[in-house]
Amino acid sequence: MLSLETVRTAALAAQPWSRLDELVRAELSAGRKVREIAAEFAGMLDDVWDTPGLSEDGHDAFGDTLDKLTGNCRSADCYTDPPTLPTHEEVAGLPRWARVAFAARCARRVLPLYAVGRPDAGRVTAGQVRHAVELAEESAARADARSIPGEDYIRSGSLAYSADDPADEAAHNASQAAAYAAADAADNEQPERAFYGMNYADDAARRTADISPHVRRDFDYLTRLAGWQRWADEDPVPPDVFGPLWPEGLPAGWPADPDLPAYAELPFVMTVRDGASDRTAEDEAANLFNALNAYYIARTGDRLTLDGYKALVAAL
Amino acid sequence: MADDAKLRLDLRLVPADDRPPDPAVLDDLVRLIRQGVATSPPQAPRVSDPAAGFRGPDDDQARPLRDLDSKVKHRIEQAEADAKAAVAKRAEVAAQPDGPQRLADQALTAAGRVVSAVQRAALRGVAVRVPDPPDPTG
Repeated sequence: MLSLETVRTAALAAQPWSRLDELVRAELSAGRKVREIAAEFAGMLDDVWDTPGLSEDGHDAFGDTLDKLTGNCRSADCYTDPPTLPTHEEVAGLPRWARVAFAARCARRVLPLYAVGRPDAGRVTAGQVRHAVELAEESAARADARSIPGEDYIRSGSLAYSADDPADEAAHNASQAAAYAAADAADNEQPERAFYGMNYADDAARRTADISPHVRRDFDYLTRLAGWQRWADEDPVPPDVFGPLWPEGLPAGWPADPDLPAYAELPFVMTVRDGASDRTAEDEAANLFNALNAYYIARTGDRLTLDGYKALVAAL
Repeated sequence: MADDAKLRLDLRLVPADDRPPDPAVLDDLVRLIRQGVATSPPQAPRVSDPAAGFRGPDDDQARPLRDLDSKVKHRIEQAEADAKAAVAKRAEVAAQPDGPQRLADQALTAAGRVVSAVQRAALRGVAVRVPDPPDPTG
């Protein structure tokens, strides 16, 4: 609950918009819903506006904050409830191989936590856990049910973990996420495996970062894609459909991927269909360059430049 | 049924101003291009490499190809000039109290633009792909 005193203090601050925003976001991070916070703000409206010494800015900031809580603003500016993990019903509702791909994606996201928590490997190596994820991804990409060798080995081999060691516990949960992703690709289809795997991945990440917004974003994107492309249970779903795991950058404290390719440049090829004009080729090359550069700038603050260019024609 | 490609453009981008490359972000760009390819609309024309492959232009093809090359490079040069302003703007955003969140939001939006650019190219008969990654051991 927010007290009147707390809200008044924020409204009286030198930067009332920022202070009130921090209050709201702290409440949302604590698990409260937008409508609950909106009701509290609405209930103290008269008291806040009657605060002795309240400036015009403080008056407006409170009103603007209430507008953002009640949806009386541009949609991009309104407060929304924090994303939650998909439910069991939601995950089970995905087409077969989309579900396996989703489970594999969740497991891949937390893979680096296994090596961090168990650097000495023991019975199950980081390579074995990664291999289980890769096989699940391949299975979904080919729409090919298979028994993943060692899946039970991974699941049983990592059951023991130290509850006093958060990194070891995270490693255990990461391995279980991989095992369930692999299990979901097996012949005896059981939709709940993907749901369990997703939750193990969330548990693995819990002490390092909240990955539920990323998992939710993956799920919602996959659901839209499945509808747009009309996927049925027999349609393959390659891991490439998801794109980068962390397009905004790694969360604070998250371990880097030890298997990252050593890119020093970005080569790419554009092939132009017979019948497409040279103007089309020119437009698409420029448009793609702009988009690539915009992302690189957004992430690094540096820009890209064209270092190599070659044009070839079809040999007849 | 796929159509044969008539033309192939090989491009290579590197960080400007001798800045060190960021392998993680370059890897993300590769993944975004692949995401655009994997999620291209089903109605996008399929473009296949010709059976005989590609070669340098002969005398008849050289001039029109030089014209295209010149136009593509000129468009990219213009875009690079605009990018300098984007770099300065990003630095301003980074300095704000809410800079990290705004930059994260901008990165997410920019990621979507890469995917859309690849999909748009596919719809217009221009297929984009990336070569296989380098060996992580260097």
